[in-house]
Amino acid sequence: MDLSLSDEQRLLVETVERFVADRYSGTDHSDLTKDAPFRREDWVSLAELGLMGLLRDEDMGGFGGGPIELALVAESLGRGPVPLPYWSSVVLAGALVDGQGMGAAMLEGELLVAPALLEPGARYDLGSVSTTVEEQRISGAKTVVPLAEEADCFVVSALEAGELGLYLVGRNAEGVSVRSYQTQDGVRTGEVVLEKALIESRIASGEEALHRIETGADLARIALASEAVGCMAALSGLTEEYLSTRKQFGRPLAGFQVLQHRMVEMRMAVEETRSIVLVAAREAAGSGRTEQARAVSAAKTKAGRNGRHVAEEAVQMHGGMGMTMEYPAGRYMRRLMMIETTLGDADYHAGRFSRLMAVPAA
Amino acid sequence: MDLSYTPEEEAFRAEVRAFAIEKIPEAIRDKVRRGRHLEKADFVTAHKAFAERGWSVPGWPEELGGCDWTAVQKHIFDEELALASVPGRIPFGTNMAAPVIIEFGSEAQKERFLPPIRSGDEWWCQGFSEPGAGSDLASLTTRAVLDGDHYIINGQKTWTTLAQYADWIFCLVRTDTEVKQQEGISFILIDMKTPGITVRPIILLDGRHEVNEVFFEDVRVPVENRVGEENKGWTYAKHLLSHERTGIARVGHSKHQLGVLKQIATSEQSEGRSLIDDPYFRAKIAELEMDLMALEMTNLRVIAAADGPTPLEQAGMLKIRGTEIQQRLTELIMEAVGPAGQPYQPEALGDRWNEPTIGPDYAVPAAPTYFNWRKSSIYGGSNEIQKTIIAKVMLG
Ligand SMILES: Cc1cc2nc3c(=O)[nH]c(=O)nc-3n(C[C@H](O)[C@H](O)[C@H](O)COP(=O)(O)OP(=O)(O)OC[C@H]3O[C@@H](n4cnc5c(N)ncnc54)[C@H](O)[C@@H]3O)c2cc1C
Repeated sequence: MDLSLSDEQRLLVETVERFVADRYSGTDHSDLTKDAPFRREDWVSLAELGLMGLLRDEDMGGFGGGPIELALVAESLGRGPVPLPYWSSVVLAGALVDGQGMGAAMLEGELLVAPALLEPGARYDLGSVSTTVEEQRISGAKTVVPLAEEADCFVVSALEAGELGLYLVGRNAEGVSVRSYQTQDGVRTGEVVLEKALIESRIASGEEALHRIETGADLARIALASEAVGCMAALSGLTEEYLSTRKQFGRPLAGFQVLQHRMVEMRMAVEETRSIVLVAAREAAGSGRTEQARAVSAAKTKAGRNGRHVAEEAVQMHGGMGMTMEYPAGRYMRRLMMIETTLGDADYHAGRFSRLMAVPAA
Repeated sequence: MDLSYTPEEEAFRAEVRAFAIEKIPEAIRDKVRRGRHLEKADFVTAHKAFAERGWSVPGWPEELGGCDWTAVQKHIFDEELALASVPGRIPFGTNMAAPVIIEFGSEAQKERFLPPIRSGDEWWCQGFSEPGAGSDLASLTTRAVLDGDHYIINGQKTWTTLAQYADWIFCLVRTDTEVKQQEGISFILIDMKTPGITVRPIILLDGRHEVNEVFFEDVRVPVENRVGEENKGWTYAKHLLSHERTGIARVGHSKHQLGVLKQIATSEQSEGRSLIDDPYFRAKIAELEMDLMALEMTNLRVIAAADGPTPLEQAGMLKIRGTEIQQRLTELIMEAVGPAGQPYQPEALGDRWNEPTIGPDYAVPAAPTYFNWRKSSIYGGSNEIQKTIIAKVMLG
């Protein structure tokens, strides 16, 4: 075991950090009242940095990274935070369309693929599918699809003659309609309605489709949990900085022991979550499906619980300042709450973990 | 000890409920029920209905329009209104400015200011906090300098709730810089239309304009607008903070929201059943309900023990637990709506929105309310400051 970063990994982190600093250091992009549009050029620059192909093999033009590299990249994005759904249109989409010959266009950022799996009312259950395919035409509804309006095509889960499948559907195909909005953290997202839309192709069906959804979602969860670590680390840093400079009662707030202890708890929560994400990344790189799923659920649960704790503490300790749209603490809080409600919240994953947990025979 | 409500108290409860349903327009109560935003007109309409019934200022002395109610009656009043989805009353005039004016103001001030507060014709806001003076309020620096029969005021207040609606602001200002901080502060009433006042919005986490910065530049205020003696403002402010704490725990509001939460958990489907039938989630609701039951009894004990101002440390306990429960409710509602809480739909929270919402109607306010209610443990003396006060009383 080697817990230090390789030169290549360090370079990767620095690259993403530079991207975040260059593009997202202002405050405007997260001001919800300004309805920031999706900037395609940001997506293209992510591609130029090689981040679209992070998980793709080198001989396929990718970076050849694994879950650990994914965690590193996502944490840096979380520090932005960056309102680009990397977990969705890169990680999940990549896993779903693997081997479809779309690689090159996706790597260059030219082809934007939006996974459209979740259905209204299904909560976190990706297996609850009532979209159907009949004679090459697909009908149904999908909810909270990141970049729905902006995508070039969707990967849609649907039932064909009762069997689960994954289908490619063009954004502009007849019968596709999108109601676009931003989520609470300013990510362009939409509701997708399919009315006898012509499918472009079937990507996978049956076990293979299920496998792609499950492994893709687990990889995406690692990205989300690690992004949460980035948000939490940023919040922890902001709070330490603010309380060191903000004076009340004639001295810096950081001098009050009750607040010191709470800042320490925040820091511990960050480190704890970073560790559990690394556990998930390690398992995802090699273990069997059960071990993978269990570790991923542990990471997502911790990210959810600790993320909320850290966000609430940060806002509280900033006083009125933490409550404003302008000050960055709220931005991270909003992002963390959206991470929590994506691909299963802490309760959902605690439940999944407990079903997979090893227990002694009776 | 007899902990049951008397028949008279039950009759009073029925009377309040009937009033709420008959006199507060259904359109307004519907907004509260559905977590929609209220506009100034909604608050004013509700206030006027109370005023008509003689119930807009129950805490005042009877001869000024107050109600001769017991503490238990006040509790019933607050609870029934909240359960009937009646909007919370804006406290700045009725429960903050007025008690100080009644206790320490001149006859002329009482005649001038109390009737429009009671009727709802004038809106007040609170100008205490400043950028450099939050928890440490006594360090405030907004300066009032005497010039003949006027004070000239310079400085800045901040976090001023709904100042954009206000006709008047009551402020703490510094009138003496030579003495101990607390001894150089005066309490002064300022017409918001006075030249030199600028109000600038601050947008909160949920995207709403709820608070403001208020700037004072050579603002001339007649000396007769000072309440009580010069440099005694700190004492008056403390009086204000200990007054009318019956409602501070917001038990009724939390009961209302607990109902909302259960309703949502019943509607939401999770793994083939209602979320409310998920034992894990149900236990979380149950524990919250237990906390709320205990809080209600603590509240009754505190208010019944002292008819009149509540001791600060007891008010502090009610505020801390009360806000913890309120915030927990917003968290559980967020959890209950799940991914349906993601779309940001500010228009759907306001008036004049007739299009269908994205996802269920109840999901729309979940996240904004969660974000917004983080404020409750910060304002009105943060929960940390409350604990410091309690500790001082406990430990000396
Ligand atoms: C939505 C909202 C509405 C408001 N409305 C009004 C209004 O209408 N009028 C008005 O005058 N004010 C209003 N306020 C201001 C409010 O009273 C202050 O925010 C509050 O007093 C805290 O001050 P601060 O924001 O400067 O935080 P700070 O005082 O800077 O405190 C920051 C953090 O440090 C903690 N802290 C401070 N001192 C100590 C200590 N000694 N020990 C331990 N912890 C400490 C605080 O609890 C807080 O968590 C409002 C605030 C909000 C958020």
